[in-house]
Amino acid sequence: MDTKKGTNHHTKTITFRVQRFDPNRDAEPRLQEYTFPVSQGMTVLDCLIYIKEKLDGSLSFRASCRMGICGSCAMFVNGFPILTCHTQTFELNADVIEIRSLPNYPIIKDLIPDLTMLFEKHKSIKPYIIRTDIKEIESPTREYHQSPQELEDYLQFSYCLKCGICLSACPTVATDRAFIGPQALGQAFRYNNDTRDGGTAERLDAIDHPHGVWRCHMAGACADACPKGVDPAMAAQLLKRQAAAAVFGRGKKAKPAGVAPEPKNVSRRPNIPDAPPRTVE
Amino acid sequence: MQANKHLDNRLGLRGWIRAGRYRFERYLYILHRISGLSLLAYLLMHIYVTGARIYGADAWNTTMGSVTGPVFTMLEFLVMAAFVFHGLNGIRLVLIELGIGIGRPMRQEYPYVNSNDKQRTMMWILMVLVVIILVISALDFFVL
Amino acid sequence: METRTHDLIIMGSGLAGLRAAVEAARVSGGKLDIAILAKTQLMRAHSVCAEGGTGAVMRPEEGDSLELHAWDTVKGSDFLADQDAVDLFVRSMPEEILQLDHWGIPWSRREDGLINQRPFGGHSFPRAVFAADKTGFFEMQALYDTLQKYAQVIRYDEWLATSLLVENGQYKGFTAIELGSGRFTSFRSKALIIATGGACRIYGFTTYSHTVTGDGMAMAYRAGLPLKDMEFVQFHPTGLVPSGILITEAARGEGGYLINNQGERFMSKYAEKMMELAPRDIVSRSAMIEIEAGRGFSDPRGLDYVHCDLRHLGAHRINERLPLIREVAIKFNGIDPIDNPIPVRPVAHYSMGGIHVNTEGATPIEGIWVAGEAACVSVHGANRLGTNSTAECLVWGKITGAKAALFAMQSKGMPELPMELARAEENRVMHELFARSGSESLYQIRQELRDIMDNNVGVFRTEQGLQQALVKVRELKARYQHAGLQDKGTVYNTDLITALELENMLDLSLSIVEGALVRQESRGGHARRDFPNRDDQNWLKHTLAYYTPQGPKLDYIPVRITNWNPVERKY
Repeated sequence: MDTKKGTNHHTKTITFRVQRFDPNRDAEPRLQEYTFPVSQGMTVLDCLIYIKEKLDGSLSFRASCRMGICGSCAMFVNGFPILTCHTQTFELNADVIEIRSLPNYPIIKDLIPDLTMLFEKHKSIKPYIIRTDIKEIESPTREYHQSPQELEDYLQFSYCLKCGICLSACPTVATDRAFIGPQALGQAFRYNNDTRDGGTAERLDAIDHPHGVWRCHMAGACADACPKGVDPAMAAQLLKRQAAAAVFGRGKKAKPAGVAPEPKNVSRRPNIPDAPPRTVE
Repeated sequence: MQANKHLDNRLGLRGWIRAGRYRFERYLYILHRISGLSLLAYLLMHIYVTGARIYGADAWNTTMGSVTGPVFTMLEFLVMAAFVFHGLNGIRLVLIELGIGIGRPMRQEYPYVNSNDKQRTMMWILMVLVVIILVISALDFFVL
Repeated sequence: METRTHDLIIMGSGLAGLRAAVEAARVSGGKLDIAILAKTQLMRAHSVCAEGGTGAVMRPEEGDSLELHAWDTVKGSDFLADQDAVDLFVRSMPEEILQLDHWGIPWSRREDGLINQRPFGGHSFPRAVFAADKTGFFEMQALYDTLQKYAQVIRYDEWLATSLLVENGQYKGFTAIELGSGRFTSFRSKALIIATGGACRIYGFTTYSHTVTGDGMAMAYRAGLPLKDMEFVQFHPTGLVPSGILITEAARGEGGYLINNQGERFMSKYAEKMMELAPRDIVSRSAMIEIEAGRGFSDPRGLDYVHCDLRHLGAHRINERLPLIREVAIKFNGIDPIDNPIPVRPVAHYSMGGIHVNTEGATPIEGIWVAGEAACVSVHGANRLGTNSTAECLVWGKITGAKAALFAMQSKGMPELPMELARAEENRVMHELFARSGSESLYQIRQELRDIMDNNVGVFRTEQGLQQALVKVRELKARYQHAGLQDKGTVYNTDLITALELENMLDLSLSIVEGALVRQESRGGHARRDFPNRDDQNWLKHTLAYYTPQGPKLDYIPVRITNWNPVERKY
């Protein structure tokens, strides 16, 4: 068996040009250079942590899970927005790496963008299940029926981390800050396409306005930049179709799925023990 | 959090052109806008110029005479180019916005393939078509 | 100093915090002013890293039962769990799963449209309800999205709480810094729910997010609340080498093997019946024994490992059930689990211990509740079963959310803040820390802490190693006083955050090491080489650690055994 895999340790000296900005001191962001040997296996985030720990404790950036699932560490690296924890430094194939804060968001400090805009746009599209059977929702009796195929019809859109990368890739957001943006559109479609949901009409209202879904002109950048394969670009196009169909009174979703029926002909699984009798009274 | 205190980092129009290492489609987005605006400008000019016909054949001939020459041939070719690109790319966009050619939602497997990747063949076919038509029309404009 | 007032404040925005926020908003029906405060943005909490599943009895008709779930949990806990709490826990779980379904979580489904379940370590029934291998992430998302419905919940994203304001045993409020502006603020509220998660970033090789530093635990500890069972740290058998990223137990639940360098499924030697699906403490010890005996694969960094082999599962199953694991292995190690085994070794994963609470999640101080990993109810005892942590967060998120909301609605007056205390804290954080100078580096101290915890307070422990660790942590605590900040600015000063977190980690490390040193037995996650057996005669009891400036003062309380007396634990 190959035991050497992934353990050959070569290093390379790389210069990082890192954006610095402190609103109390700087009028404009500046780039500060740090040069050090990077070893194989270090992600871009590992390099930033190295700078913070060994070279310059005053550098600020966000990081949390370091495994590409929390969405904290999105930055603009060598001209492309990425999750820094999720990107191997060597993968960039560069001797000089420029790291900036995500474009299109105000900068709080150094590499930390203010994502308030993202969270508010997301909230505006009612990103939750909307139904009328309040009693069942408040005290559930059984799960709602949903087949694996129905699940896969919206599953990819629910991979969204809210990292904010798509809004910084989007050319429409670059000029129209009120544009609802790919993240929110993706989530609107995610809930519209969920068979348990009955809120399509409300959500279409929320995206059908002058800065809504029609401002998307399919530059495709959000889909290319999304680190999780959410594909907000597809969601936006399919939403347009939904919105157009609604105008003609077509494409109405059937009623949201009800609770699943009791399964029939169920037998006990083999080899399941019983809990031992109680030994304390 | 008060955003106004922080540096506004919006890309603005610059974000259309000098964006970064994006795929080709993001540059078609800006080209589509430029070609659209050029065609609009041409249309207004065209109405103005052809409006000279109202004042009789002489006026018409004078006006037409003033818009000939190599510069105007070049400009006319650019109008042609804008028209061909805008039209064919527009067909792509209409299809995409109708949900055609971008695949359908499905469980994603790494490495992810997105809608932009799925429409790429269509995009290249149309762009090659644009180039072919423009080469033929260039021959027509400048050589024949 | 600015003071902000809310009826109920939830500290921490992980699974327990969000669940508590939603429940409080529901119960209060708009009558309460609720705030949720966290040092990260919402949705960045470590709960998103939970992968494998959430345990609940969903199919009694197929042979599962609440008693069986309770028994598995108690046996898994090495009989240190409080059994009345376990009863409450297993009873509450099925509804939580359905509730999340109704709130839109993409639970993986069976062909018949029902929620699917898969096998998990230590469970006698395939009991893990799952959403691919991103269960925690999707649970967080469903709760976060549902929370958007409730306008009365105010968000404080990126506010770091620094101390609880407790005067004469009464809860009054707490102090916090708004990271984005550096403003120091005091908060007062009728009720507080602490849901700030575990502490195991004090280890270097760990599955935890960078942000999991036990801030809530440490604050409560310093405010006089006892910590329970801190010596019990869970080591997950399969942390990716070298990053420590979690390779979910579901990889084994779906049928993956653990293989040593002889090509053997070595678990056959240690847990004949359940093999790779024995509880985590047993699998971790087994993997360590294999590695120490030279039957692992060598790693130049010293992180010798075994293999987690998924190849026989096939591409389709891996892509459908374990997509995150595959992506992580490819992105971080360049290994596709479809073609190659994944290098793994035991890794610090969970704090069984936490702030001492009763079965309602209430602390000895009225007005403070604790939920999730920050609390020790104790459901997990000496070793937690996989799937029970996200479940615990949901159950006690709901319970504490409801209880705290009712308490806040019934209580009349808003407490008066002890401004002296608040100003002293402001002075400590905003002036003393900034003024501190010295040659020590925060990051160097943090690294040394992690190294000593990794080496001496790991899967196996000895008297000597723990003594060394105790001396070392005390030394680091002294050196910490001479570590100045390099960043003197106020806006988003991550140097300051590190300093405050490090102080919390040092205090908690002492309680872990001290508790481990005194507990002269091996039970669950606490394995002493010099005391290899469980000792129910002397040690069937919970450790309580009280804060004193010199170090923890230990006390013990009995385990509540209401169903089953301890028996030998075999898998």
